[in-house]
Amino acid sequence: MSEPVVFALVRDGTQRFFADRWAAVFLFRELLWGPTELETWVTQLTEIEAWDEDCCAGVVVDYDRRKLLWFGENQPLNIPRSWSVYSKLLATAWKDFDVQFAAEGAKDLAHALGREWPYEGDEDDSQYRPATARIAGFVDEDLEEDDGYPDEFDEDEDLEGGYGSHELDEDYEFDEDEERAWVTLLYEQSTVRHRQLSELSEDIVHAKPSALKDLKDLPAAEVPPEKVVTEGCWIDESQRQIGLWGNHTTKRLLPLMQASWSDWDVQWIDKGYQAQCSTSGPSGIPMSDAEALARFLPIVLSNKRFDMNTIVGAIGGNLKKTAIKAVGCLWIVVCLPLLIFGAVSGNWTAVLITVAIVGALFFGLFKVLETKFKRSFTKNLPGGEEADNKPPTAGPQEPSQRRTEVERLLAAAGLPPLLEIEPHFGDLEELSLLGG
Amino acid sequence: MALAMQQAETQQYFTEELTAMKYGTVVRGLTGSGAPALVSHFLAITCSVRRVCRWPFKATYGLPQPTAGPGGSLARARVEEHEVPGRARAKWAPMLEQLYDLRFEVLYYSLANAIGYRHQATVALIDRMRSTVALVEWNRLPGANGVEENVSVEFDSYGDRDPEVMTASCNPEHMGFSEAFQLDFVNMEFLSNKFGLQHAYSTHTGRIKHGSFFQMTPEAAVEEHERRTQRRFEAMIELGLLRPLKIAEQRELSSVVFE
Repeated sequence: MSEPVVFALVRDGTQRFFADRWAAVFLFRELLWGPTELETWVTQLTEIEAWDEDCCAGVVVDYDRRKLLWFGENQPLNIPRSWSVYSKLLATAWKDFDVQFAAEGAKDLAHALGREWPYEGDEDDSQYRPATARIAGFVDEDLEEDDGYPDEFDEDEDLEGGYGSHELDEDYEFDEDEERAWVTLLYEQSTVRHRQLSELSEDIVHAKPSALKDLKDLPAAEVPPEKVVTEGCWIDESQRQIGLWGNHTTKRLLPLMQASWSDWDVQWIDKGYQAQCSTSGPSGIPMSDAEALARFLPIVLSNKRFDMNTIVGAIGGNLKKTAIKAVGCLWIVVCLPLLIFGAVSGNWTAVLITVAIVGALFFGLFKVLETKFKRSFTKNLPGGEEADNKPPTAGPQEPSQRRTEVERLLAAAGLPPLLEIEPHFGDLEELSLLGG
Repeated sequence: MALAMQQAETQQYFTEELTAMKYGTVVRGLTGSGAPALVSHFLAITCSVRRVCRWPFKATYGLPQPTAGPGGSLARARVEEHEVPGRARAKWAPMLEQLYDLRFEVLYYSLANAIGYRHQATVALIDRMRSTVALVEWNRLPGANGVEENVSVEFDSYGDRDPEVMTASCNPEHMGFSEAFQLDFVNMEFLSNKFGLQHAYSTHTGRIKHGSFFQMTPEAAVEEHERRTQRRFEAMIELGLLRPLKIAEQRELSSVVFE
């Protein structure tokens, strides 16, 4: 369950390696504080002897050649506009450095360190994508597990051939904030069709013959707001053109699509959402820079460390609230007969004293159980003790200082100030800061 | 805003009056929207009491009365497609796609001259048989969970004699209130939008198959549609479902900036 990151710092020709079991989730935050702060923080992590490819994220900082290369899964940055403003901030924070995102992940980092990639030729570079537009559009249900074999417990007799997919009974509706891909089909005589998919499917990427028909047959969809679109494309049948845009994961599809749609003009489009809107007609619902920044700035401003403690603390916080309510209800139920007795006998002094004593006993018992529960959980958590000794994040630990630095960075990058961004912050409850 | 305020002084605006709805209609409408039965009954009682006490709910928006005539009316400003708010065009895109597939063509786009907490945009279309006008309406207004947007579609056919025939495709949650808007001279049917516009249109054409309804040129369709809209609006005023705003309400709502 851990999210390990490996850091490689190169100074005076010497490579040093550090690792952290949990830092992958908020890696984008740690990078924003610049080269000096990052080095200060990283060098306090666990130093390891050698580069380790087995990681969820990685960073190579070459202070001699002034290069930063990194990769990681960053859910708040899935929306291309958020990625764009983040990249601007990162470039500002690392202003004398050449900053690159490693599209091939750990492989690129290994090459940057002058190492061979041990899995060259063996690895499966493909990301999972739904096989068909019908599956991505939730018209069909994908029954194949990731290993390609059907679910052996599936006893649906309507399956054709028992494999692949089968049609769902009801139309799927995306939740308001659910991320999705947006596809627009353009035909002659200005006919425009919008479709929403979970992501661009394999048949679209590989120009399967049924792809366009399947897309056309999907239910008509609204033009989604920019804040929920992770990637998109428009397919102009009359001009035989495809405009593709999205996040860094989408960009890896470009050469595949150019090869598959060989008779077509397939181009990567910057500022894709605006371009797709102006190509297809409606102006859509674009995102402002402030909204784009609000997706990840709460995490940047936070000095919480992501680890098992934080997750348990967040879950525990919610559990505690439930427990308090349950204990409160129990106290009322227990004291109700006493109150009835008081009403009948008139002896309110004794009743109220008894109610107070019962309340104090319940409170005491609750606190004892809470402390024991917390202690036993923390002791059994992996990495629970080592976390206490490390600074939780890069950058200033004091919240007001972090805020000042973020303001300075925003101003230097020509982006809106925090005052404009904060109204878009939304729900800041603990669990939402864990990238979920 | 100064112009809006000036218009507010001279133009009469109307707003919906919930207290005019019958008890049963309010209960069914709210229950259909997902409200618990207890809440529905409580609100229905509130409406009834306020009706008796002649104490209307505070108005949150106002719309001018439509008037038929060339170029539209003060109620709605005719606009070009690109002038329709992006949100409206984004929301009604799937409806327009289905209507184009059914061979409808656009008559006009318009924006309501509303004051207060409401935005409304409309696109009117006509089918190739020239006997059915489709009206796609986008509304943006405050709701229970913040600002809400919805799009509804109705098909209308008109003849020399009443009743007109209207078939609406709407959110199933709102269908409970449909009985409040029944008019004597309009034969209304409300269908769930889950069945799609093709179903709604074929239901509508089935309903007008045996009657005598106008086949209109686009210009005549626009004129007829506006005349009928005005008539329906006046009927709603007569039923008390729409009430005129007081001057103070108009002034207050005219100064509202609703994003």
